[in-house]
Amino acid sequence: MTLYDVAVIGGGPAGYAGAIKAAQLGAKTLLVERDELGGTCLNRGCIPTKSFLKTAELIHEISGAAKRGVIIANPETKVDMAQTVKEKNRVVKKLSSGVASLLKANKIDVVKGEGVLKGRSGEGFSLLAAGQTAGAKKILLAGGSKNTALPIPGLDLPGVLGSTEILDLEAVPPRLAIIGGGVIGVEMAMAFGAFGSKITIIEAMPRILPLMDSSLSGLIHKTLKGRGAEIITGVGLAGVERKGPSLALTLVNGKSVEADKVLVSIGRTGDTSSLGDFPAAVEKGKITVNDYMESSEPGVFAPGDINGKKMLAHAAFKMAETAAENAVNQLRGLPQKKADLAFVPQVVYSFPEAASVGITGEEAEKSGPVRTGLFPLAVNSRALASGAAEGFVKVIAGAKYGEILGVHMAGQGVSEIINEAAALMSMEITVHELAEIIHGHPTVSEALMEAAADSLGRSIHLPPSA
Amino acid sequence: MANSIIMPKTGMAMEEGVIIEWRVKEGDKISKGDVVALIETDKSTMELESDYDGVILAILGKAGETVPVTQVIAWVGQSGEAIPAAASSGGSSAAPASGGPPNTTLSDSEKAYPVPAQAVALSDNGKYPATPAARTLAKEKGIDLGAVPPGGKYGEIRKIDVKAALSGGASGGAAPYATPLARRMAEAEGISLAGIHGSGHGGKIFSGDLRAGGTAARPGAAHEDTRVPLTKIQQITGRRMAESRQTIPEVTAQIKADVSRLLEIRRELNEAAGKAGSGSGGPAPKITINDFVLAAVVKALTAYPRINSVLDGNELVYKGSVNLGMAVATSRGLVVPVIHGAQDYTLAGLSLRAAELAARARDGKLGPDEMSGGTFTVSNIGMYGITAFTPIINPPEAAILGVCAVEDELALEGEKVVNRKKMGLSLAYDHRIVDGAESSLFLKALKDLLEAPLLILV
Repeated sequence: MTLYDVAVIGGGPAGYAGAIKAAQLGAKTLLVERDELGGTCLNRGCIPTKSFLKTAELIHEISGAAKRGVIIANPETKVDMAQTVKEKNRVVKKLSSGVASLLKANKIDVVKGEGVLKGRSGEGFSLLAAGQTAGAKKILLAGGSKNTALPIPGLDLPGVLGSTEILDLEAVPPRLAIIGGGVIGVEMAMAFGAFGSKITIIEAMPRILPLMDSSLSGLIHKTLKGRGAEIITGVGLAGVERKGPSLALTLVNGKSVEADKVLVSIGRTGDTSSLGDFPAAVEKGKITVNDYMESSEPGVFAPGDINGKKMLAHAAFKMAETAAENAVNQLRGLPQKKADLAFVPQVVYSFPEAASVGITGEEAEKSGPVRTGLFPLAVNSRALASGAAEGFVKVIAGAKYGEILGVHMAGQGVSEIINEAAALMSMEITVHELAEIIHGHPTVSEALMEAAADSLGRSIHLPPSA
Repeated sequence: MANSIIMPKTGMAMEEGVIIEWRVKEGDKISKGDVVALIETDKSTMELESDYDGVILAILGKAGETVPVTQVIAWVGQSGEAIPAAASSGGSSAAPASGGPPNTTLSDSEKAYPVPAQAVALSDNGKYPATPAARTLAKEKGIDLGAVPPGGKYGEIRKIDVKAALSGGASGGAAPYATPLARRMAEAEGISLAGIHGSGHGGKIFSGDLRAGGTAARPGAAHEDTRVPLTKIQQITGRRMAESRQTIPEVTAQIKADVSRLLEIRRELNEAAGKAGSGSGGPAPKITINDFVLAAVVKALTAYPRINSVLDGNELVYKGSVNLGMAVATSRGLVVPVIHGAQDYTLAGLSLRAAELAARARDGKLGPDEMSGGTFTVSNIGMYGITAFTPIINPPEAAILGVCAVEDELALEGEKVVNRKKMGLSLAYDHRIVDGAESSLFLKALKDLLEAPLLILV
């Protein structure tokens, strides 16, 4: 039996990044993955949906082409779902094999199969990797997450899909009902809405994107409505029944909705199956970890979705790097470091895109005195020239020091601009400095600088506020 | 020219520091880097080093003194040199006091001071420890010392550091060693960034480094300590307690009183008072066990006046009045309000007065005269189930009574086993004033009163 320095269970963003980091630090590393490398993000989440959304965006652009003077002889568009899925699969396969070659280049042993922690043994732990016993001094559990199951009758009917199954549909459903108006629900509504589905979103909370700044919820709500989607908020689902060729959804308030397919996207829960019977603390399906990403059991780290701190691939990368570094440093008696997750950007890849980093306006109200700046893209020259004037940039800063607490933006390309906000916030740039940084003109990102200036009451391109 | 040594501000929460001891005295010749004093900050005890070569011209803060941050505590200069008179009072702050431009108004002695006023201001503005050469260069080049990363062994800014900042910091203001937010916070809160080792890459200072504590500590490993300054009450009480224990030869005697009858009488009294009060403006406040103890103590002290005396040098002062102190725990610390002239109160009156003083003690609304002049103190921790303890005498009083829990005890009554309620009493006395026999007689008298409670009432 080989004794590894670090064994990683799970080959998603947390797992492969943690394994590579450990290997970079010179640790003999094992990675166990039961499915495809790349995890949910790469195979069933972020990446495939982005492929779908590009297709949707293209349709959207074509519909607006005539306005810009582009004459398309037959402007009618139709989605060949099989080709869309094929293109998505090509991208996924390319990225997944990229992960495999990175692991190989870092001399990481990769075992395909179920990985389960068994217990403490000798100077470390024993685990089962595809039925074989292996030993490791430190463990990274990166089991990721799975779709949350709801105890509502009818969710097991054919035609009721999770976020995984909907990615392999063979045809565009004429009517698609989406349970849960969070990030996944909204992105799928955008994609299938453009593909031609009649969309109905059912969100139990009072607004879609309930965890994001309400200004973003409002803009995306308006956009979806404008494209013909129906949005029902503040009402839960009571049940689903087969009704002839259709699915009939009954809501808690007694109303009903008919659809051909139903997408259930109500959130995700940690997948703790890799923990086996090991006694690390688990709360609400998530492994409890501290800021060092270590579980209640010393030597067992749990980065990524499995700990539920922030279910985002890029947060998982950071958590995994920290966990791997701490694991290796424990072996060498070196100090431990914390994973700082205060400034993790989050993006909804709708069109227009919505993006956030830091606290929301709703949270800011409770946090103390703040100053808020808002710059609408309707007065941003680049956005106007691109015909993408929907959107805004909102900056929330501390009243006393001007520290940037939260940035929320909607508009074309903001998924890229949000990283500027995150970078500046991580480096503790305040609105005083941000308002002074020269931004290229004309660009959409100028709006960030202008919003910072507006928070100080001195935006050049806005009229003086009352 | 004379340079000031100030009480440094080493953290966000630090508002004052304590001079623990001076390692130098006036007239001592010192070199830059020499430890001049030991100071206590809100975080730790640290050695305060001189940034200057010279002679200690004046020491303005005494050892043990608590001094606001940035206040000048000493002057260093050439032998025989004058120091600014405004500062010699010990009250002036190193920062420009009026808030206006520094040294626009000068006192007479400052005018006589032979160095250009501006230079004094620069030197006095000791927010950033720097060598004189560094200060001169920074002033010449117009660079803010706060923007210069200190490279000195003791966290001081050297000339070479200013040069480096001038050549490397082409962008101006944005120095590489603190974030803009940390800089703004330090500026607003008057914190010196010098000497703080940042948590960022290459020791870059982030805002979190200025805050005490920081984020959650790692479970299972060493948790970070939390430092909380003592309240004024805690500081004063602590000093007096230490003084008491160090100077008083204290003996503690224990006795138990059977309070079964007392508890019955108390119940009857409270029931009767409740009925009487039900017709007129609600029930009267209940008389507590402690009230009975206070009343019994007053009676016993009258019988044994030596226990109610105080020591004054080589004389014993028999107090004409029983001024009864009662220890009250509050959120700000232990306070001892005093019932003056307790011998003139009835049980009910004593009860009302005790309740009223205790309530105001908890609200922090006692006047100074209500906390002084005590002749004897009662401290009751029986409610916590304590069965005996050694209370600390409140000097110059002769003794203190600790009241303990009432417990069930089996006793023989004839040939029958019966349940009796026994209360522990701990009397700590100053053996210089009271001898063992007298204190025992007092304690016995107290026990007798508590066991025959009707005597307390007459």
